Amino acid sequence: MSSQTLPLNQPLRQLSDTLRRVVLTELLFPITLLILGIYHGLLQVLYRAGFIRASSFLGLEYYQGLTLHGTINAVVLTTFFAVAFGNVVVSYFLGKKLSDVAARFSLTLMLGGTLAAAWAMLAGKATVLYTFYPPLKAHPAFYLGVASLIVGSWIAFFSWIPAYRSWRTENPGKKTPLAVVGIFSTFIVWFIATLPAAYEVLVLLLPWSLGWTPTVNVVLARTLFWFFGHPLVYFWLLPAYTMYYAMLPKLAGGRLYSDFAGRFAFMMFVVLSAPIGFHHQYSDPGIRTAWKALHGVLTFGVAIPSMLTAFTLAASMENGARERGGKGLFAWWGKLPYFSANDWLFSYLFCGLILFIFGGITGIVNASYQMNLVVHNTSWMPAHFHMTVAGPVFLALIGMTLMLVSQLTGKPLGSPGLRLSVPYLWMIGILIMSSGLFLGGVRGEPRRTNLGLTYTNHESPLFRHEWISSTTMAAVGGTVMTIAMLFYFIVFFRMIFSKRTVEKPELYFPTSEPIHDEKVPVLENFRPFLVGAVVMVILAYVPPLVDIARGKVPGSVPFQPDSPIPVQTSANR
Amino acid sequence: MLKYVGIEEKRVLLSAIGVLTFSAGVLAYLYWGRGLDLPGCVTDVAPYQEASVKRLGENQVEVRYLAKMWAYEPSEIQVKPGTELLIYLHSADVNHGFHIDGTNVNLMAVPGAVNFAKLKVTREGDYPIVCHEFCGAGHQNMAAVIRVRESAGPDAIIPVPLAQRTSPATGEKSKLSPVVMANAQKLLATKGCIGCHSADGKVLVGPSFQKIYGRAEKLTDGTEISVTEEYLRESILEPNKKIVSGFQPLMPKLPLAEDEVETLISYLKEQK
Repeated sequence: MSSQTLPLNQPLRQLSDTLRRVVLTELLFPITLLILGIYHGLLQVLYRAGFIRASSFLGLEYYQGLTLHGTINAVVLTTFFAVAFGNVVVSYFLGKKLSDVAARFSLTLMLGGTLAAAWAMLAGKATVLYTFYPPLKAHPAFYLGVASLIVGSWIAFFSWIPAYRSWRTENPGKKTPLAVVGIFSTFIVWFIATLPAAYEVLVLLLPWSLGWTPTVNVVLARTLFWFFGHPLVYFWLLPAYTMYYAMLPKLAGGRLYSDFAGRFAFMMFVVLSAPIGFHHQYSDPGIRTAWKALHGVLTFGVAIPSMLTAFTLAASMENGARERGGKGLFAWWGKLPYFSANDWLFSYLFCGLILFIFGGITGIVNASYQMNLVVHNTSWMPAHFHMTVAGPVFLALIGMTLMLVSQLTGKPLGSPGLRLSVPYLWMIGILIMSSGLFLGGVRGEPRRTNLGLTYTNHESPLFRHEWISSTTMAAVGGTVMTIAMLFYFIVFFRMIFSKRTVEKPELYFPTSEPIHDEKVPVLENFRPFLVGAVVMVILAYVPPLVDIARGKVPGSVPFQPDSPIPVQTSANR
Repeated sequence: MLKYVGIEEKRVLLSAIGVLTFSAGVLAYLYWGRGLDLPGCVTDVAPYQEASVKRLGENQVEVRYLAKMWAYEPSEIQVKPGTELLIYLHSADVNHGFHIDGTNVNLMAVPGAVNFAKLKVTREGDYPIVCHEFCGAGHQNMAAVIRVRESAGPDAIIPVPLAQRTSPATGEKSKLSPVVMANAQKLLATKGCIGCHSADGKVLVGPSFQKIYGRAEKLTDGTEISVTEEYLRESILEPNKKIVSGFQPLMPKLPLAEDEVETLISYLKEQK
């Protein structure tokens, strides 16, 4: 991996031509796919409210669309963005050139994998939702595609490590830029998380779906999935945290309240992201309550860095507002650049933070052991994660994508009005939609269900009148969200199709300086926290996995979603 | 590390830990004070493929639910208020959910492992159960009910006489009386029929109900028949005796009372 050294602490403002094209593809491709993801988001709220009472609409089935919605929005978009953002952040803040070969190879694997999985989903051969729980079986191309996407993202991560190492040797005693710490934490969490996922997909599911092995242990597969599934949410979240710590204070017009808080939070996520997956399986059989309780306690632990972040960011924004002339105990809130054409990215990050207040609090409800039984798998859950992954994560992601594409292509960002309306409309839309889903959730409304065919169809004997108001509210919110995204796509594609105005496009990140620049040597090194993460994973997962392996769970033969007859494969015939 | 933390940050950290400790305290109270726990590992009941309802004592009934694409067995039980239900749950095929509305019973049905929850039903009324995990094309039809009635019989099992059933009125245009129509639709839903048989001509697991009466069908043994009342009755009571070509013998035998069979036949005859 080549790493040409530049003058120290000089950000790298121009990527190599290859890396620039790779990053642009990594940003453009998923945003284009997102059109489909958003389209079926809207359709879902319409189905659920009973406005569409059918199993499919315009050739796309409800559950097929739901699979696309989850996979595109939560897995493909987030992974591509994290890799693109990482490529840019690592080269910019370390002032290092990255390997073009690795970048191209990683993009090829990710693109190929996504296309294979997208084909399987669109052809109706992988209607298994993004959790792909066996014994529902998808086409092997779906599993291979997911695996290829994951491995592709690893390749990118591996190519950043030599750049980081050489920066460290060249800058002894200097703190690693906070944004780089954020990105490396993101990908350490991701690497740990994707090992069990790779095992589940490649060792358990792929041979089973090809008919080479007759059965699969479903309890084990579910456990491995959530071993991956919860750190996955921190993989979504940490790029947004990186922007919050490294850029938001600057956008607000001030400085980061505490540099220590940022580094400490990132390291806490490295240690505590993975050993908490059982809080998704509180209702599962075959797992001892002691393991569930242990993971519950640790989940409470991982809430602490988020609460610390909330305080640090509020304090940093107050600093920015006072710099802008804000006074009083609360009046300073009025001075923040909510509608600034220059610091427009602030509005995207800020609206996400507002949503995250509710996302975080409901997350603690979900983690709360027995209390989870009230809301497990009800529409409360999508309400919660639309205030996290579709809140701060998504808004930071689409805002940063807009900024990066404009900077990398040298094309101007037009439409300031539309651009600034997107985060606010989106936030209002989510607040309405999630309120509906929360309300329905505590009334037992199930998630992942085509309610319009039965429960919200007054002609059906299964009609449930108490779910009408909540699903209608969700439909209103979902419509507002779709309008916000319509505006976003207009802004985005208008920029893409406009003329380049800057001949030599340059990168620029608004970068925060700290107020309190604490020097904490132990936080300067990932090694102790990596060891901590491995120890926690071993403590939290090895005993229950041994338990499950010893439990002799009878294996399951594969099923297709459209039939209760098991699929005949060469192995189980 | 604490020496690097400012006084305001310390306060915030302490309040964060305080909030979480309080929440954990509530959970500890629920566990030790109220005996509320999560479902865990069931070791005394092996995975089963037959549902059952068994009275264990005057106020205790054990129900072994079997979740399958796309119905629960039993789909309906009736017990007296004050009954304690010992609920076991297993899946015959894929993952399913099992949430009894308005209660803390919220379980996953996972093939290979048996789940368990206890529920004491106190108020009279219906406790609806819905599947909340995606289990295939008929997922939205997968529901069941526990009816709590002072008048419940000792065996806690359906079928409940048709006269006792209340149904939502439907506005369907049909020659059937609204009562028969409603009863038929209720049966189709609670017995899981609509998981496999569509009403709109779409071929699911079994033949569609659309225009079924009088239709000419070819059977797997090569004979050609026309669907008559007699054929319908036989196919409901002895589902796998005659199978239409292109389908498989999968339909379970259902415990149906004579008036229920009558209701279904009159409904099927009206499917235009």
